[in-house]
Amino acid sequence: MRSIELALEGGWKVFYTAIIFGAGMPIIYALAMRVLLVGSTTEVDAAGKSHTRLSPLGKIAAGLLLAVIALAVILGITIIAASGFGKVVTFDGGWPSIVDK
Amino acid sequence: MDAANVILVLVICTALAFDFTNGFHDTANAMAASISTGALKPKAAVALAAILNLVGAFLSVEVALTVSNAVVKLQDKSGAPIPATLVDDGNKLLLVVLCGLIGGIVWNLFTWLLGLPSSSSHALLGGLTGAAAAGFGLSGVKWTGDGTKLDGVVGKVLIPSFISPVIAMAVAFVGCWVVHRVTRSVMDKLAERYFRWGQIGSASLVSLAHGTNDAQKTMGVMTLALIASGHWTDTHSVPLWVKVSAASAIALGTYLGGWRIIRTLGKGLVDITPRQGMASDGSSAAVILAASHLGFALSTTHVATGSVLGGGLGRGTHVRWNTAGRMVIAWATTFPLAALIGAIMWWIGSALGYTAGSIVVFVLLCAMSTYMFMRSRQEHVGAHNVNDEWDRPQDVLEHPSHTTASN
Repeated sequence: MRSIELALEGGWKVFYTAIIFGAGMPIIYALAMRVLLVGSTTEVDAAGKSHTRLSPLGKIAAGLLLAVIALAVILGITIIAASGFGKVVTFDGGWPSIVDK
Repeated sequence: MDAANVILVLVICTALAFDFTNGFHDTANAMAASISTGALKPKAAVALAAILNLVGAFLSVEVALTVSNAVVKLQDKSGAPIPATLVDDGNKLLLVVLCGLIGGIVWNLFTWLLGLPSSSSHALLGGLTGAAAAGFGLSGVKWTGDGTKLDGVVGKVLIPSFISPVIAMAVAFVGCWVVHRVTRSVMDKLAERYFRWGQIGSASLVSLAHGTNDAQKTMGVMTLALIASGHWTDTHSVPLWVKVSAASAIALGTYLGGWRIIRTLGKGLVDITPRQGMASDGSSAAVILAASHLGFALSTTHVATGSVLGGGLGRGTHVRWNTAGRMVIAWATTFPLAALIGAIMWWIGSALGYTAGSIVVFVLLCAMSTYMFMRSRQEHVGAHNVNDEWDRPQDVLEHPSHTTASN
């Protein structure tokens, strides 16, 4: 029974961390794609083909969201690399730092 | 060459062979979705996965020598074999390790032949547990932890195999559902291909994490064999050639790609779109990294499968539950059946004496592997047909003018 308690405790931590990053990042990516189109104009040419012109505002907003994802990816790579060197990334103080295991 | 050296050479070869099967069995976990959506061409996907596995394997500067400690009592905390196992000049332990590895390889090849994604780590731990239980008695098996942390067969194998697919499924479900809601109104202006970059990025993270985690396991087993036979004493590092050969074996296996499994995971379970694939791969990467960070043992395979399923449910697409059912059966049987093969190998090997026994079990491994390879050629699955339609969907049957896509 103790094992099940520990497993639920560990599983719950994995779940909420993974939901923040694993669902959060794809959602931010989708939001980035969506805000990219803010203020955009679409014209249909003579051949019936549509051309979308993006606005600077949309590009900047999407760029900011993609930067958030880039930071999360860097964090992910840091966690992988740190574990390979026998170190671990901690979030004490709200900021990631690399310490010995 | 004396007995100990014969067994040692066979153990090293078999460990590398296991590492190789570990690579090609798990290519699907990272790349099945990207291959299925066309985000990456099949060959490009396996090449990328192989390179990232290689990089990941070399990133493991600090190798855990205590892989087997999760389930059997063969090693102490430092990774050195416990004295009770070092009988007959360490030959007994070497034969146990050899038989355990054979259990893992045979099971990996069998599930590959059936095209089922099963956990390579559970196959390895199962094989080692079976061989160790047969060789040193059931008392050598660690069933549960001491109550302070998750450990043993129950805590590191059994419980995580229930929990981890559910977590991955829930995360991918939420991600995929919200991604579709967010983008629904603008999809006439956005192409699905915009989402492929997100997918390739998260698939790459899974590959890198796989290389760091799984190549280490073989390095640990090889080093255990070297310590048991007195060829190595340092429990804080592994020989460079062990690292290089294990990293190369897993990368080569990954590059060859377990196409049968890639096909099942990418096409057989649910149909995957780029937005959905991005949500599934994002979920896999996050669950694997979060678990490895929090010290929660889980299998990459269970996570990847759960994520693919969750993404499909999130998009509301048709799920082939019979394929999912077959996978669950494969998961449930991996540990016990790999253990059984490991134990049978030990009984055969030990009955014939260490030298002859180890040669005979090795020959048996080669024979079984060759047989399964020949069987796989009868219905060959490769880069050329990995993305063929899984089955003829209902609308095709009703409208015979449509033909199933093949490339």
